[in-house]
Amino acid sequence: MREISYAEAIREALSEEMRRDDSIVFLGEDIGVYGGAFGVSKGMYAEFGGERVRNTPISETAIVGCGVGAAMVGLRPVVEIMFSDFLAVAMDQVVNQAAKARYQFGGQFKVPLVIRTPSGSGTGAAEQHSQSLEAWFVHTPGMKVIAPSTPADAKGLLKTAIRDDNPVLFLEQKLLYRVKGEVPDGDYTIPFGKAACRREGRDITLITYGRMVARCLEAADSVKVEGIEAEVLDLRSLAPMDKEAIVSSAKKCGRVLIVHEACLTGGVGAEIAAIVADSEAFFHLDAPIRRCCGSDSPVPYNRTLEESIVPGIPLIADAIRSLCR
Amino acid sequence: MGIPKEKLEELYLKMAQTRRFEETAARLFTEGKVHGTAHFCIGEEATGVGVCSALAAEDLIAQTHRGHNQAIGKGMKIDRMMAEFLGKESGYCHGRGGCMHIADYGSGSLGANGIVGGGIPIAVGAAFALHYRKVDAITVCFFGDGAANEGAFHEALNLASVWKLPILFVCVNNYYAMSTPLGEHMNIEDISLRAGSYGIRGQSMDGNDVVSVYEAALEAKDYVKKNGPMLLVLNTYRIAGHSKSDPQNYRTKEEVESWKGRDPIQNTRSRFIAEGSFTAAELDALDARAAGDVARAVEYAEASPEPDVSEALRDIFAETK
Amino acid sequence: MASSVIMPKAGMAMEEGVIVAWLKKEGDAVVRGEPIAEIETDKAVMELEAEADGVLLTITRGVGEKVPVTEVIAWIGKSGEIPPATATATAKAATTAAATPAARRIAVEAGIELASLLPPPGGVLHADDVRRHIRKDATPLASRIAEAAAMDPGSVPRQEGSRTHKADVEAALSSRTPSSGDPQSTEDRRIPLTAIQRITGERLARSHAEIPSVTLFALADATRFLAVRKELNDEGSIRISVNDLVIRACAKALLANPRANAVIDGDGLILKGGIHIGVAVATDTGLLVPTLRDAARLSLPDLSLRVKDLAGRARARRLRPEELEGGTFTISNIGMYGGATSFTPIINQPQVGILGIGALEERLFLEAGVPVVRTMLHLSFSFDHRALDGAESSSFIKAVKDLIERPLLILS
Repeated sequence: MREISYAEAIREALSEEMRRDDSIVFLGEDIGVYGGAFGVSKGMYAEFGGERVRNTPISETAIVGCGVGAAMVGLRPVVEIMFSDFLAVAMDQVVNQAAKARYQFGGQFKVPLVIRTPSGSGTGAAEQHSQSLEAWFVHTPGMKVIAPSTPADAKGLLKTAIRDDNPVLFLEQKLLYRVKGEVPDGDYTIPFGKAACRREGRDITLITYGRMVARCLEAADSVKVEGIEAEVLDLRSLAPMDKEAIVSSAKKCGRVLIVHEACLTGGVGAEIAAIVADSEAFFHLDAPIRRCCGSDSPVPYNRTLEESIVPGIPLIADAIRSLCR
Repeated sequence: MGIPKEKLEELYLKMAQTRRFEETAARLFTEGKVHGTAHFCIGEEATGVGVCSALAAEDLIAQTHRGHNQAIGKGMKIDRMMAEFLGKESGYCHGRGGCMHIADYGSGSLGANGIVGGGIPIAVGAAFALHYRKVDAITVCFFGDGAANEGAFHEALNLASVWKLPILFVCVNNYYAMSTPLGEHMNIEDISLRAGSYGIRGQSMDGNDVVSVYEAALEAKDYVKKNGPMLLVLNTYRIAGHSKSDPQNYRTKEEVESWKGRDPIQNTRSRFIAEGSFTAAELDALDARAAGDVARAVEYAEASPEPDVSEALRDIFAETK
Repeated sequence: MASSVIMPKAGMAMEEGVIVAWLKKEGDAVVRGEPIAEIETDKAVMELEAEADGVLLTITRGVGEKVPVTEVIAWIGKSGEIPPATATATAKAATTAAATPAARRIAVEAGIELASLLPPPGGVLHADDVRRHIRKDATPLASRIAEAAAMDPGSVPRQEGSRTHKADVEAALSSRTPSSGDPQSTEDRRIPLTAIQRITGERLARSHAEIPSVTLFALADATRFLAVRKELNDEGSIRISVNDLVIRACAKALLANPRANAVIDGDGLILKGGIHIGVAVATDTGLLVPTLRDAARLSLPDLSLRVKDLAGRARARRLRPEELEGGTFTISNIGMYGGATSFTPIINQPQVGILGIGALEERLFLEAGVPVVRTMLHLSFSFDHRALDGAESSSFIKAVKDLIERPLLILS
């Protein structure tokens, strides 16, 4: 199977969908000739032209709002917000408009809108260009929130997002754009709400998503010699979340470590911990449910400081050991 | 004039229905039958009725939270509006939205928005879709003077102007952003000047003359289809408070009284009689009809069942395919 | 005054027993002779009967507990009577140790009071701490089966209030999904001997040391023997085994050779009046030898049924103590396992002889110059040379061999 990058996989998915369905339009800043801030839309302007691949002014509110309005009357817009931090600028349109339009108007409308946005730290972009804000939107009924960790998943999940008749926040991981992986040719979708077990284990389960999946796998490998067999569960879909997989993995292993780069307090990990605690898995827990997450801090510029506020592989491994004793 | 009598009748009747609707709603509120709050457009009826009566079925509108005149103008049914107001299942939004979020896609309404200015970018999106699909129709976006200061307004006008979208921006200027008078929230007096910033046409006019508003809207519609966005500012006045809970301590009784003398319905009545288009009796009959429509709407709404609690979580998401 | 219920000494060698189940609970009325509990000895599970009428006042030892014989396990008395203070076992911990949810669940499922477990060094009871406790409380059989299957007996769900039994382990094994293959441990593992193994072992050692034992080997032509057996099974409703027929043959051979059916008694030899043949049955816990009484007087069908019954109950540990005693001779079969052809059985003291049945083997003979195949049965006879000499012992084994070679005589 050929290997392509995470960014290429996203481009492939978006392009294939746009070829398949002309109601899909693509709006965003610098996505035209420039090819997008992270090169994701390279070549798409040439293929689809300016009517369908629309470079916008720097107006997040208008971009998202335009997407909402167009979606409400029958188009299927895909909107790129250059950095997930900028969602804060367009919060009204995302939270009060996109997520509410269907419910508040009694089901008269559907909002088949996809908001794609790069998320996460590690590029030295600092406080306002490095956040992981998924918790805000997991907490917004009416939004679906997706965070793929591999190129293959990015392609399949983006197709599902585009075909979904609801607003989907598609969180791309900046540092994963260049990562290559095997990606099947042709059309395939991955359903929402289904986690992927990346590594089967027995002694402890690492529940994670996004950039931390690879780190969890490395940490799991590093403790193997000590006789600890760690399971790694890649959620990839945060809303809806695969509660069944979470509970059965926790029940099987009896020890749970939740890992995400987003900051600890009020993060999605707290939700996962609550799901485990109030399930049949509780009676199989042989250790406290632990979270190994980003520090409660803005993201600093200095590289070492930036790395220090996100869980590294040794930290994850230590957390595994402390739970497995 | 050249406007057919049926159209003039429509204009008057819709305003009368709107006035009756608002007054009745206010009474129901006082009687404790309405949950939440309500925003009445008493005194502004000519704006929404005038503009919407110039639109075709396939034209779209985005309403304000003070938009019952816009709804009735666009042909929405009073009984289902009243039912929504009372939170009933038979309301347009099945009781989920209330009067602040009234909507009827069937009539071309994209809904009233509770966020000031929140609907403006959405209206631009709808206009984009009309343009993309090459539909021969326009989107009309209503908003108030207060909304013209929101970032959303500026972003939306800019985007619509650069993409030349078929959208008519209608600013219903009632000189107050809630309790703040225009002079305190804006450094200009004529809001239509802002159109110039975006290189689009701007026009300001008396919003209480329903016939003039109607004619201006017809012309604007034609213009927008050919040339892209336009800003139409309708100057009017809000006779009632901002909302039911408004003590109105920010304006003088004199000011209110003076605007009451320019009541759009009274104005139109006088004008029609003076021009000989209608007799007083005909207009009385229309008044009676409006009263009857609203009374029946209240009966319908009060008799309608409440939504089923077990359905509280219905329609958060659409079932895909 | 209240009367005590004690752990009975149900066998000469029994030193402790395990309470398998209480059939009555505190406050129940009991009648003298009524079974009130099930006790497991090293050989069998037996019912414990009340020795007095009254009310079961208190139960002082619980299910799964190992109790030394003659120690008190309950009190029977008049309703409301307070039994004498007994020295209780370990005092319950003053506070319950902190325990993980998994530890609690396992304890509840196993009917264990967490408070009765000593808190571990870290202060928190984990699942493994409870499992370790339960592991010590699994029946030896269950432990062996579990360990052989690389399964922790402490992790096996079991009947509440009961020890972990073989059935529990087997159920857990059948529902277990295969794991991704743990690497084989290269460490030593100590497996304790079962009670039966220990006791039998001691006897075997003594027998081996004390008895001047000699083993004779013989080959019996079993071709016709097997054909007769087949006919019997084709016609009859009871499945007669090779063993059944050999036991009968042995019984007849003993009738003709009474010195082989004897027990050593100091400087004398007691020739036993009855012929009671012990039939060695391999159970998962060890070797048991139930006695087939009056083997010579039983018809073949009766004999077969009784042997089947004894062997079945031996494997289920449901033999009565008296069924494991009183044998005058023993038969043991190694041939049925395949592998070995023959062996030197160890004499079951105080008996003087033991017949070993080996493998059936096809051999080529020449008869009148013509090659023929005959099926031979390996026999071995170990005897106490103090009781029998060469001639006497040979006579016995020849008698067995003859009967096998002329099988119709076994049936008479």
